[in-house]
Amino acid sequence: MSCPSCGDRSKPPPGTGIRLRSFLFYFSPDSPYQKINPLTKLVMMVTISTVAFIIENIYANLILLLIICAGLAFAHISFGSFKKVIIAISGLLLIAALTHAFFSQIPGDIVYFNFPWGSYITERTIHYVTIFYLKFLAASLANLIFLCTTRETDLIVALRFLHLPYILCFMFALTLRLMSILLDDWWALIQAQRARGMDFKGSIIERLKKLQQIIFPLLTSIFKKIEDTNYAILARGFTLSDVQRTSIRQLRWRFFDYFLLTLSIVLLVVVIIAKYYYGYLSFR
Amino acid sequence: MTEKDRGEIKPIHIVSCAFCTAVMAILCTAAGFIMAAIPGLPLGFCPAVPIMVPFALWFGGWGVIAAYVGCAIGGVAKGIPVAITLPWVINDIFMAGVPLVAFRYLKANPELKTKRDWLIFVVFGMTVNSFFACTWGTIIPVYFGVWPAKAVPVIWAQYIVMSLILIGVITPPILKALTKRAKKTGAYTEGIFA
Amino acid sequence: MKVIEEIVVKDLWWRYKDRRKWTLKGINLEVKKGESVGITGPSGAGKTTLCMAICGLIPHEIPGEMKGTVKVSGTDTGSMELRDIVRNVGILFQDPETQFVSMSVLDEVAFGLENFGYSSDEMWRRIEWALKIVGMEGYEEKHPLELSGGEKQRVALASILALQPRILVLDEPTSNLDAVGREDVFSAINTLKERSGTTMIIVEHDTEELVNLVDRVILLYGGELISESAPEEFFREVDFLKERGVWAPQVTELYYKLSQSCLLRCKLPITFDMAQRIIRDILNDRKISPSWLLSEKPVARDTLDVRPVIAVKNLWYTYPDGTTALQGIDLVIHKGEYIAFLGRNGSGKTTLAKHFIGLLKPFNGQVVIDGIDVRGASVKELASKVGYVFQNPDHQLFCESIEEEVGYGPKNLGLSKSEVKKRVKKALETVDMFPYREEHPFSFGKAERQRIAVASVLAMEPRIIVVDEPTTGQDMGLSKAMMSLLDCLNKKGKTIIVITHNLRLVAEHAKRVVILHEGKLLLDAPTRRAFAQSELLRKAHLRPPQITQLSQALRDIGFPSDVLTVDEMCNLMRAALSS
Repeated sequence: MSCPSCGDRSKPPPGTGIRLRSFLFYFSPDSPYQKINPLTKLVMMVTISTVAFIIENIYANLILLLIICAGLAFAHISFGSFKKVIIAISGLLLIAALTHAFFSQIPGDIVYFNFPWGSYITERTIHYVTIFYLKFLAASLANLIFLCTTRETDLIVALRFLHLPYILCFMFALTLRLMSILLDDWWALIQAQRARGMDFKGSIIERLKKLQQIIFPLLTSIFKKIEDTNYAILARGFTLSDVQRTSIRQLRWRFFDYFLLTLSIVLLVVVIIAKYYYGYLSFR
Repeated sequence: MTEKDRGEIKPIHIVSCAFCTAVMAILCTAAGFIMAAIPGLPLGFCPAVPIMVPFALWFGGWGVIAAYVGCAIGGVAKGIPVAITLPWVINDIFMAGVPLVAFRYLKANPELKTKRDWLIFVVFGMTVNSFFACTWGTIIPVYFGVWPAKAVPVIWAQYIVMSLILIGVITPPILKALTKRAKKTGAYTEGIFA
Repeated sequence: MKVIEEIVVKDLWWRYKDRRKWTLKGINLEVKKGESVGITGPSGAGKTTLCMAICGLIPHEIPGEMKGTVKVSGTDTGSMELRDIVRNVGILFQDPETQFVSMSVLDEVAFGLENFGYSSDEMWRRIEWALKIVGMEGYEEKHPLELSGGEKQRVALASILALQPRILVLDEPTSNLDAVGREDVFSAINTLKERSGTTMIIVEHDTEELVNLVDRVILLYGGELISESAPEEFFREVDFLKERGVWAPQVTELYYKLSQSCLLRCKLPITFDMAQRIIRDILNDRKISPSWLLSEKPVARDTLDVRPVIAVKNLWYTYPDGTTALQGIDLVIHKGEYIAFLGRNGSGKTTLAKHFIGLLKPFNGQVVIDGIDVRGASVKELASKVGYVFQNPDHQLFCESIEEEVGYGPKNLGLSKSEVKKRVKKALETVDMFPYREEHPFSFGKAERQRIAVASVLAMEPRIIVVDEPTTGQDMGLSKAMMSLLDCLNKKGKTIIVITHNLRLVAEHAKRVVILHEGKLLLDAPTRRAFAQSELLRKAHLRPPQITQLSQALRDIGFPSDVLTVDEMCNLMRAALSS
């Protein structure tokens, strides 16, 4: 089996069926997103999340959100997998939306509430807060599609194709790998401290001191790991010098990639012109 | 390794930058979600903040890069669009960069051995860096409509108080206890990048 | 002139920067092309440092002072670039996690090849060859999170093999792995040895495996090379080696003890097959008498409290990602027992143990600790009953002094200052660390930090102590010291549960064994009875100690199948030989 977007000759992993691991969850290599190359997915993520963010018309926001949700469904990931992520994102967005409700002064026909600091809530405030929530949710979900359907290794292929310096690509790839190691350490540290009777209760200062008691051993452990990883990469010829490097993975371009790339860039340009030049898609 | 190798950027600096970035990203995302879920903790609580200063003082410019990239990863993972995250987290460059420049230029010791070191830390490692970082981090989102301009004073006050508390409580013990250990690794920088 | 010495180390001295002591002192070593040399010695002897010197990381990357020379294929490594050295000398390190720097097996194996600019076709050819040698074909798109420790280590080996180095240095490649992982890695090394003429240097504590892999063994002690010979000669000096922290294979130790009593006069065997052959030759097909059989000393019931301290009933546990880690576990543990939890990684041992401290709550079923159902109890409440020592002691250490560290737990329990001080003193005295109470924990080595972690748990005065893999990554001497400490605590009335992969130490210390396999309880029996069930052990991917395997292989001539230690076998043999 060759990876459709990367043109390599690798085989599917044995024993796990045919599922591949993305940034966040597992997905099927038969998923339509696997046929899109990672650079196209990256550009689509940036443009669509930007488009979602620019649009400030409740109907347009809603339609875009529904399209993005359909895109998420198309990725064949079970809702149970990303339920927690959506709840967390929604929570954060709600707090930001409420900030607008409490601190903005959007005039309207009906004033529902006046705050002592001069802000007020009108029907247009509620309209704006709804748009704010929808557009941020749409932008976040566009990010999520990318994170759910792209492997870290494919992202690095995309960055190398953009001729970013190899060292930057390598550093970014190493960071992604280290996050999984250090996350395991993080959880192990929390458990180790809990086993000695620590809980996260008390005043803010007490909680911060307890947080310090987890951060401290985390930092201690990374010093040795830095040295070990350094030796491991040097032992395989890694250097900062300007040497000729090759890549086992190549980016494969198909007509579909060009099409999607053009479509997303055109969409972005159209939305920018519509909003900033003609005033459509703005909050009125 | 000979004396001439000092002052040269080496692979270990890249590795240390990657590690610091990973720690930042984890503290920004996983820890952020967990800690924010604990009732009683206000907005503006980012556990990555008190670690930025030690990373910058130990690993120089690589720690500053780690602060920026790590928090950018954290932002994207939390669902903030890339186009907003990248300009927003420039505040972390102030947070980490100001104390780095101050400590190097004024030749202060990150182990905080003397009163002068402490003074430089309090001024540049706690106050000035928090001021610039929180100001940037509060004003830039207004341009992207994340929150209204009228909310800025309240959010700014919360951020800066939180930042001062976080750095004041967590950072000094880390610097005092771990700087010696950090100096033993080949990644410790005497200058900015080497 | 044809160079036949692949590696020549001449009068090598090495001292790390800012240290007064020399780590390597006048090492002289020559390794011929195609030869496999084993390096053994206690922790801190300089084995890893010597490996670093051979592969060029010393002096190119690690600061310090060096005297003498290291030549690889006739060229001084000091005059070569590091990149040129590593093209010919591959090194595999101990920790499979930190070596794996990519996000897939394919990228990891290709990493070195990409750095040296190999063409795509050449890379594919080498990658396929390397993965075949290590038995990982078909794993190319696997994410590191999906790989076990043994698989990661094999991928790391493949990554180095892909560069086709002339010399391969393996620095304790299996010490962080479970039994299955170790077996896989040794199998890959054996395959490599058979198929290629690569010169190999293997650092290994497990002498029973080492003897099968190498042509020659050297002993490093205190930075000096003090012994060097073929394995048959090397392991003959059993007492000499033991004094220097190296334990010979059990079969060698057995015959050494018999020869000391003048009951045997033969060449000491170093492998299991040799040992078996010798016994059969000596006994000349005679069967041993049933009267020589060991009688199981029943555990006096009155020495054990009848009240269970841990009662597990139909325990099921499923992780949030859907993995069912425990399936219907039933277990009762009484006060004063000394139990080992065995099983391969992922069998559920640690998951089960974490229920005892309340870190995990049952999905179904019940866990009762000293009369308290863990479902309704907080971790803090259970921490005074069950002390848990984690595998990595560094995960539990963060204070400035040992005294502060050990006092942390009792302080969390809300005890008075005087009570905390009393407990800290008692705990530190138990682990022989009281004189160092004002030192920083990280100024000590791993073994001492582990003792500090044990003390920090003891200070909470739990009745039950769970120790998670205290012997991983440790040499035999330090592992035995840790097990002796646990023996001492057990004699003082503590219930001890140890999770380990070291069956030799389990045979020598634990009284009862619980074997888990794929989340189910496979066996719960006294150690002797458990180790006699070779089929069950094989199912759980466990290999009993070499001496037990020997006795089981000699079943047909009347040997019992449950011999646990060298001394027991020695007594049996003495009785057989003097009849």
